[in-house]
Amino acid sequence: MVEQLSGKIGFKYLSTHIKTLNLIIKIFKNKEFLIGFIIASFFTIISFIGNYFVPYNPNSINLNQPFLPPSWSHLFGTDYLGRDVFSRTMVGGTVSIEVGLAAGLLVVVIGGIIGVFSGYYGGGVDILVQRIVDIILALPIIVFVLVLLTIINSSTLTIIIAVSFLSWPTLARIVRSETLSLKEKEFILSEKLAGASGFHIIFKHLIPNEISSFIVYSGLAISNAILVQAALAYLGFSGSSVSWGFDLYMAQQYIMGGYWWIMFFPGLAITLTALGFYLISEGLRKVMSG
Amino acid sequence: MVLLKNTMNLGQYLSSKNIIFKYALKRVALVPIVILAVITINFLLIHLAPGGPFQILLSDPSFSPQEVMILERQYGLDKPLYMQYFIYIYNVIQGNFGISYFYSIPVITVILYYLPNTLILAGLSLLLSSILGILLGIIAAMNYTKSEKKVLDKFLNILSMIFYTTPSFWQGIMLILIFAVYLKFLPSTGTYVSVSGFSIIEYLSHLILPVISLSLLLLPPIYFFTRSNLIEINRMDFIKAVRAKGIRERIIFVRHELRNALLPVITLIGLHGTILFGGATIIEIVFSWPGIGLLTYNAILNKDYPVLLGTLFFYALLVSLLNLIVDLIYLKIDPRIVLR
Repeated sequence: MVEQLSGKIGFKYLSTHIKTLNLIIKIFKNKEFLIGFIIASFFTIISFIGNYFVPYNPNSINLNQPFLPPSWSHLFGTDYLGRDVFSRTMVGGTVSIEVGLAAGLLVVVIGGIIGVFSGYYGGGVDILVQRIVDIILALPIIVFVLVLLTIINSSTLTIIIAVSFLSWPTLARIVRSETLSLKEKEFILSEKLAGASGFHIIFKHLIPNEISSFIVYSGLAISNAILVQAALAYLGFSGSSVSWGFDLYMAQQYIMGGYWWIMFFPGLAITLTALGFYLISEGLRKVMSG
Repeated sequence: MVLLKNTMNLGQYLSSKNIIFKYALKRVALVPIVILAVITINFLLIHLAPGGPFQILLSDPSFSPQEVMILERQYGLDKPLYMQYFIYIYNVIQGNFGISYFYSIPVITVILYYLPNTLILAGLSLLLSSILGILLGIIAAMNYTKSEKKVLDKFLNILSMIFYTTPSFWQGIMLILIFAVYLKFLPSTGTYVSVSGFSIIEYLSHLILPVISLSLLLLPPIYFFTRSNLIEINRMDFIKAVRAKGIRERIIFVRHELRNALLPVITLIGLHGTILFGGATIIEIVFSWPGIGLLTYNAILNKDYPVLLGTLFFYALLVSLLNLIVDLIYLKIDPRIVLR
């Protein structure tokens, strides 16, 4: 009897592992996810370890050779101070990806928890949250973050907080409507009858059941945060002196010279990084929705 | 019997009117709520600014500390905070956003001077991206349902994804580089004010690149939404029923599919008001287009807080009004929205 039972439990564990494995295989078989995953991990890895592999110091100024076009010694050419554009592009993404990952995570945590709570408890809290969501969604994020950063101060941390503070409402709305339909399901009702607390139901049942929307949305949130950070850096609000967006801002001052390489490569890097995370999200969405 | 039936219909009609009216009222009431919230946020931001709103003027040699004190008293900064809050709301309702530090004229005058340019840019871009987005969406969806290999559909999808994640300012820079620097047939940046005075042709020629750039930002969401709506509707039962009746494909497409697919696109346009005006800000800065986005940027560089908070207020006003108009249009076209 006991042996039989343990065998069954073992099989159950094995079968859940097989299920997870199957899901992972299914996810990686999705073309969009795979391409996105490769691009995103490539840029993430480069921006964190690229500092050790750069051919030139990204900050070393060489006024004798400004605006050199791309060649074998300078793959992406040099900029207005003679700095190597290839090296700067390699390390210029660090802040973008830091902001992207941190803000993406914060958005999912804040938006997810607020959405679940307001959907599950309803009532006055729900109405209040919905009005706050309406208000934040009526503000152009970029303008508001700009005003906020001007008045407070702009460091990487404040950029992360400002971006995630303004991006959580969309996810909160999605999670709320999912919670509304989930909380009427039998298994939640039976938990309630058994006397489970609201916290127990939210953290043991609702959130695990909605985890796929959390994960799908996180890719989108990271992609958006990277684009917002790049725009902020372009407008001069960058936590770092080496940043794709800020390099583009400086490059635009010399646009009439037609030095395309100082504008093309950093912008391409931003686009591809954001595209990578967006594709991850798209691929996951397609796999999760079947 | 006939009478009874009619009265029931009338009752149903009245109650449905009532629901719709209530919904519209609720929707209209949201605008003042949002505006009041933005005023409150603005008020808080002023007091977050280091040393209060006027201390920044002390660094300007043309202001003496006495003058700053007089200004502070004029603005009621010596009163308790809640009184200041009500004074601020009262002033904003009267259109009084204070005096610009930089231009030394009322903020409202400055904003109203720049506002038309933003409205023209945003309006034209919205029009262009809607037309193109819907058209491309229709082409892709037709390719998806009719063709075996779906090459065109895949190509358009990939292109839209790439444009969706391209930063708008980089798109703008590249457009300037190609059309103004290399091909030299369009002006790169700047305003329409030339030595010879205002000329409509010059105004429009400065407008082309910013409009293209902003349209590229809005196009992908409209394209994706149109395409997926059309594909979804094509699978629905009522389309199968119409098709089974033997009605010509073109008529099915125009009368049934297109009409149903395009309705939700209207709400999407409303929802993207923030992207429209947020994107316009960046694009105005890239192209030095003299709209309120450029004004905001200059206010940031000059630490011109009254102008900054005024523009934020106007952005919120524009976005919530756009949302309201779109929602009311949608309510008129498809009243089922109240059931959602």
